[in-house]
Amino acid sequence: MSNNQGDPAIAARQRWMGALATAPGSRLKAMWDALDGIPPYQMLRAPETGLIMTRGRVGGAGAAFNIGEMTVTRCSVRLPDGTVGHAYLAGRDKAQAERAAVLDALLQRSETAAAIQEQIIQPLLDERAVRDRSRAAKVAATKVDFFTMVRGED
Amino acid sequence: MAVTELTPGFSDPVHDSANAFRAILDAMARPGRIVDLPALPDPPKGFDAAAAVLALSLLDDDTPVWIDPGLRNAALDAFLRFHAGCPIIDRTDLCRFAFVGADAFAALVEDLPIGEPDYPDRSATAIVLCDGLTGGLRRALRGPGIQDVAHLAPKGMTEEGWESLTRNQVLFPLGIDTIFVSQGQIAALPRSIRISAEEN
Repeated sequence: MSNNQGDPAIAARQRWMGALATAPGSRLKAMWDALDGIPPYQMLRAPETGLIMTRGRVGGAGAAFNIGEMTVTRCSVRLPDGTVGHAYLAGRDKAQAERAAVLDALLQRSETAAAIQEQIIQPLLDERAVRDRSRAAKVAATKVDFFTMVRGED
Repeated sequence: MAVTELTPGFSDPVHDSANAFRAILDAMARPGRIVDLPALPDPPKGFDAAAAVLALSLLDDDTPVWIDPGLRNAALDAFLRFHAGCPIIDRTDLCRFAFVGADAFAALVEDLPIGEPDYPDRSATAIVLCDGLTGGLRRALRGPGIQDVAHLAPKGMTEEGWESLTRNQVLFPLGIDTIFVSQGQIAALPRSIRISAEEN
């Protein structure tokens, strides 16, 4: 995520791909069903589920190590005009991967991008912010401050 | 950002590639026999459907591929990079697979890696795109996998092409393996096969 941050086009695409990948499946389906004018599209890579190895660094700076594998579903589609959309998302929801890939393609086309940004991406991002805040609030309620009592040492 | 010419790969990758692999094994086990490959509905522009099926079945990220400049185009590069994930290289001596037109084959053979005495498998497989698998210069084949004699006459193969394959046979157990492809069909010519011009 930290790579290519200088490029606004890449940052914008990361933003919408992230919104599509983290959307609840049922919510994205409802929005998809409400959307009209989805062009016919061709499957370049039908939705498929596999494992990826996630890697991390202790403290963000240590040596890279493997945290573990996670399940990922990916899909790639092509619109009639040749625009290619990709989707990678956690879990096994193949229908969502397909919808996310089509939306990724539509978001790259100037004629459809604005409507989808407004009808799907922005609402998804707003809802995610609400979810994150309520989760953070729940977590905050369980916060424990550790302190050491002064022992009577003499 | 759009990759305009990208075309789809197998519609059912698991089963299609397994069926294709089985067909390639059959072709290799019976040199000279013409074998049908499972169809690919929409190969990259200007590329043979059978060659595209071979690419999808055999190539991955550790098989460097060399492509005849006469065949190469942006659509093919995008197709191979996306579906096979293979590196496309300019050095013939480092490749594991080479896609070449029949007319350019003779000039290529001597440049391909033939393996090492300890590792004869570190050699290249040449995939030769022909205009047809019959009706060209005819050669008799003898060796493992052939009862008595088999014949192969890929259209477009030149005298020099066959001569270079005859020289390749002398290198056994080193040398290159060859697969001729045309219009959804393949015929294989492993390095173990003796090639001769006479008919009997």
